[in-house]
Amino acid sequence: MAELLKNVKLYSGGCDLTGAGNKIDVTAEVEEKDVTTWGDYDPATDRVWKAVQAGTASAKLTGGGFWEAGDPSKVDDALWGQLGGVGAWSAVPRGAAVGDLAWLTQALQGQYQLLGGVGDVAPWQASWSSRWPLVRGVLAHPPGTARTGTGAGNAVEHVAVPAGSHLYATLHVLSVAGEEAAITVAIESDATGDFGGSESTRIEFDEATAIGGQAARAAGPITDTFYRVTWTISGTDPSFLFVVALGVA
Amino acid sequence: MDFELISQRIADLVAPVPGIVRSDPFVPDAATPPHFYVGEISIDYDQTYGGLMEVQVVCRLLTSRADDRAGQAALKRYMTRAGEYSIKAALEGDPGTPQTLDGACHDLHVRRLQGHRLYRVGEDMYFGAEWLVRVIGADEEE
Repeated sequence: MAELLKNVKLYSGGCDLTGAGNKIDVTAEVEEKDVTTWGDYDPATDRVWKAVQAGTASAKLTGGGFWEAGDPSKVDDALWGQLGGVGAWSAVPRGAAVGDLAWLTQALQGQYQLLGGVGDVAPWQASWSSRWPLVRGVLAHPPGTARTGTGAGNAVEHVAVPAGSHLYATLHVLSVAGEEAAITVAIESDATGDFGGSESTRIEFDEATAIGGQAARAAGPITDTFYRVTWTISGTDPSFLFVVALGVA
Repeated sequence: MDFELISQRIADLVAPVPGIVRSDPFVPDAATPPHFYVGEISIDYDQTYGGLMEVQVVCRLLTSRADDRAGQAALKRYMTRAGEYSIKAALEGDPGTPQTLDGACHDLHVRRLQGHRLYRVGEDMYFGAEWLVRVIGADEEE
């Protein structure tokens, strides 16, 4: 069944671009390498069929919307600061609940375009090129739930990580409040989903004390198929808003 | 966005313009010219994924038809882009500073005047014109 795009959430670094964004394009490509040989000659039709093999894969991401400036959580402050840098990038095309489909990667922001004509609602446009695989995964921690103390999130069922593949994850810290507030986010996996003591920590992000994004990965094999986010919070009256997406590629 | 509040704040901004007798946030049943009022609203929802709305508010100013030349001259005085009689300047405020209607919206722009013609209110006819006011904003929680 076809869908209307109404509630796409986009995160780049520590910036929630949802409120300032109205267009997201994600393009993944694989180079086609010609590997045609004499052996591809088909005598029945007297034809040679071109044979191709996948070469380098890449992803190009573009976003656009309406421009705002004024603090590190606004699109101008965030995207100008990230220009030329490599950072976490996540898009959640439907809802924003744990388990919803998410696309994530680590990408270089190579372009930022802003402002327009008289009377326009000031626009912005930016593009990113992937530095890691573009990963199709799930949202593991929702954006709208503030965390004020150490805890763990809900388990989300996803796929195991075969040998040679990685578990990829992005963390976007969107809001920080409190005195000397700090948060360390980690991802655990478990075979059964009850996380009753047999879980393993797979990814631990660096401690975050300010708005920002991180991307991390852990090599397989991981046979567990349940994952959850945990966080350790310190400081005086701390409160954090953050998003975590994870996937396997 | 609270559209009743936006209508009221638009009317409040025009009320001090010299010569305006009444400035209402609704379409009146009777006019007291020069009478400014906030009329019809049209909304484009979801201009961003966060729910930004682009709203067009049609505002009208009616002047008296008691004297044909004087009524139309009075109306034209309010059409200027700037100056003490300018409806556009009264609504937009300080250039370069977003007009947030005291927090009711993100910004507004008076981009066009049209509908310069006779208007009927009840049994009476008035000279009038429409200002198209473009307002952008979102609900507070977004």
